[in-house]
Amino acid sequence: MSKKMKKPWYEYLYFVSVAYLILGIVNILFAWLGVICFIIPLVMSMSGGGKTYCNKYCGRGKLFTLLSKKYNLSRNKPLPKFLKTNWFRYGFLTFFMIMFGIMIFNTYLVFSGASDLKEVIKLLWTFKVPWEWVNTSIVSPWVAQFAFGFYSMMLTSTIIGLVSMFLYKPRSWCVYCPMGTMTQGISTLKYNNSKKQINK
Amino acid sequence: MNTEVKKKKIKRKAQVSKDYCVACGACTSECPIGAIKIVGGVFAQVDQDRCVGCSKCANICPASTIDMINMEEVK
Repeated sequence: MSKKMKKPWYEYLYFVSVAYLILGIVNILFAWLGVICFIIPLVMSMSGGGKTYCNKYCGRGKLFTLLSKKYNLSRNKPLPKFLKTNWFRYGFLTFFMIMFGIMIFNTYLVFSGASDLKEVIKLLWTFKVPWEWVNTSIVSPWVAQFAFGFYSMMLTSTIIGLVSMFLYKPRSWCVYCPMGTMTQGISTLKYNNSKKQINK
Repeated sequence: MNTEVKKKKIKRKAQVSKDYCVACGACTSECPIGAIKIVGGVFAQVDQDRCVGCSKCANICPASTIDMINMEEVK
């Protein structure tokens, strides 16, 4: 009789992704935890780990895999070609970074007192959803403003990822994920440099 | 005179879009002949000489980064 193979711990990291979204609903200040998901992939690829974060530790990737494998929520269709072009990939990264910059600027405006705290979540960079059930007065308004902005970004990208997963293959989001694009760039540079050094 | 005409046979081979591959390793475990390896933790690479064109890797790839391409081979 064959024993069931025990899954490695990182196969359960979808839990982190789900927990993050739930914690953000309970208290928006937990959105700050998402910064970790921004820093770790970059540090890993910079330190020569390649795309280890993407293939092993990405909670969102694990969540999409789980939803498609266990709950059959993906149509498993190939991705349209335009989504696999550099134009789309770097265009999306640029758009994402501009939106990130605007979010940081809004945080700065609240920090400097030029603007009031807006207790709303902006879905898909367009739809404002009131999010006023948490008392954020325990922290400075700019800390809360960053949390609102960051959670909006995380929720929006999760929605886009889920739609991609449903329409195409489970991890279609990974093809144009801004973090993936950045780690890809860093990893490729590192890989090419190490190849050059070997050939010297 | 030998009039035997060399026939061209179309063979399908798997090709990974290196820039988009997340190096998850799904293809490496699916390949029946072990012709795919992960290079530097960055992308998957298909050994074109060993690939038999079964498409299993292309079907299993969760990010749709493996395409089956037609290759002409002189027989």
